Amino acid sequence: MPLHQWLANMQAWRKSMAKRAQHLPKMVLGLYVGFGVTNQLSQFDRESTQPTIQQRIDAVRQKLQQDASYKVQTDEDGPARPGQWWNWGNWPNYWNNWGNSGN
Amino acid sequence: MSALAGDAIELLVIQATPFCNLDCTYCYLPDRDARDRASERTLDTIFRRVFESPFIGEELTVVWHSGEPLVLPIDYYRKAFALAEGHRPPCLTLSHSFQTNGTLLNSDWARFILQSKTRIGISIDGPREMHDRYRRNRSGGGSFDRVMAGIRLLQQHDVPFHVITVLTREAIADPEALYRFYRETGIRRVCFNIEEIEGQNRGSSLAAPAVARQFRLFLERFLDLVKAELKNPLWIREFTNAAGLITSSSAVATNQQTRLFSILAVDTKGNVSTFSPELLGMHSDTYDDFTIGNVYTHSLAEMRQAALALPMTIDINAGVERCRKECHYFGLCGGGAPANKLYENGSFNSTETMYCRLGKMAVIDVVVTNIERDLGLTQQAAANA
Repeated sequence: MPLHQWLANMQAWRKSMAKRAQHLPKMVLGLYVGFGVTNQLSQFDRESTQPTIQQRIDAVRQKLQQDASYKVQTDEDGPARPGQWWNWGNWPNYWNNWGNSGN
Repeated sequence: MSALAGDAIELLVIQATPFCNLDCTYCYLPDRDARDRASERTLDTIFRRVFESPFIGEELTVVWHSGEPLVLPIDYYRKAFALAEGHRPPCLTLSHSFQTNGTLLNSDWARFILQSKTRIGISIDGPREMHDRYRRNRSGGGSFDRVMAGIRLLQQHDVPFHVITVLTREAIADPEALYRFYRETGIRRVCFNIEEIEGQNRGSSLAAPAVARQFRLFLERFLDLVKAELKNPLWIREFTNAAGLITSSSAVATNQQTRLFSILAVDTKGNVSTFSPELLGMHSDTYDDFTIGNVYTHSLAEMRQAALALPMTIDINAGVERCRKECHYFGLCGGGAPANKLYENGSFNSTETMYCRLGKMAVIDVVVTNIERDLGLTQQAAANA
């Protein structure tokens, strides 16, 4: 390629880049907003589809009500079969649960 | 006279002495060098005031705590129990409980505890290296050997007991070692407390944000270890309580620390505080010394009436209301722990603390996930998604 042709191409390319650069802030802003909105939407989507702890517990309680086989009473020696371990019963309230044992 | 439902005192914490023969690095008590003791007259007045009050239900537990109770002689408690019995209304079932470091136990104590049907909890933080790092004697040495000697003594005398283990960063890093320790030493009932930030203890090895995930992994692994043994499994208070709450139908869990008068704590001079027992003996610019009266000068009815208008009570109630509005776990907790709110957040009128995140939320998350798995709810949720 002759030198003058190469220089003309370079000039044309520089002008083209300069013109595009005028729009660069808008493009960056557009990308930033675009990604932000998408991220927020996906966050919203995640939050709205994840059940709360209370909803999960309600589902557990409902399942236990539906399935009588889970209502096996057990004694201190532990569960009658695997999956029954939560039937150990509550502890009395005198087992202090405050403050680094404190003694 | 029996208290109306919801008004009864459930726990009476008596500080027979603030003194402790140990000097644990994470202890919250400010006066553990003081050698005061509650006099016979003070004990008599405490029991008279409590038992003549309209806040007595069908059951009451007296916990001897907030200092090492066994530094006082056995005779002290023989007299104390007799004084209590002298004032006890016939309809009340009264029981006594020691929370002790176990280092002073001997055969005489074991026999007394057995004969008087006193419940006993021993503080031990796991195997020697985990325990001795924090639970030290006054010359800086570890207390592990003496605590284990106390535990073996209780076992030899067939005294039922539970242990309280304060979970620290070292403990949660090695669930297998902690579990193995309980199995090898014959300890069957375990209560986990976390290393809390409160009172004299201004930091915690669990306070770093990265610890939360490790804490959850610890609980998951520990629960798997517990469940793997079908015969005589280890009892863990936190798992059992969480499972009970999750599977029961009650709308909101009861929380002794946020209900006025559910817990009363009395110091050696007869000063009374309520809500979190750790508040006894503390001081704050906003809330003064947290006391609601003295047994020598006030009846419990007068103390309760006065306590209703205290900034402490108003702020604790406001904090509970904020928890109700802001926290998904409120139904399983009932409003957090006031002492932790104060020492972590600077105010009773606040919500989430490290105690909430580790001691409540993480436990509930791990237990509910485990139950969901057992019930096939996890697969169902995945199929629906």
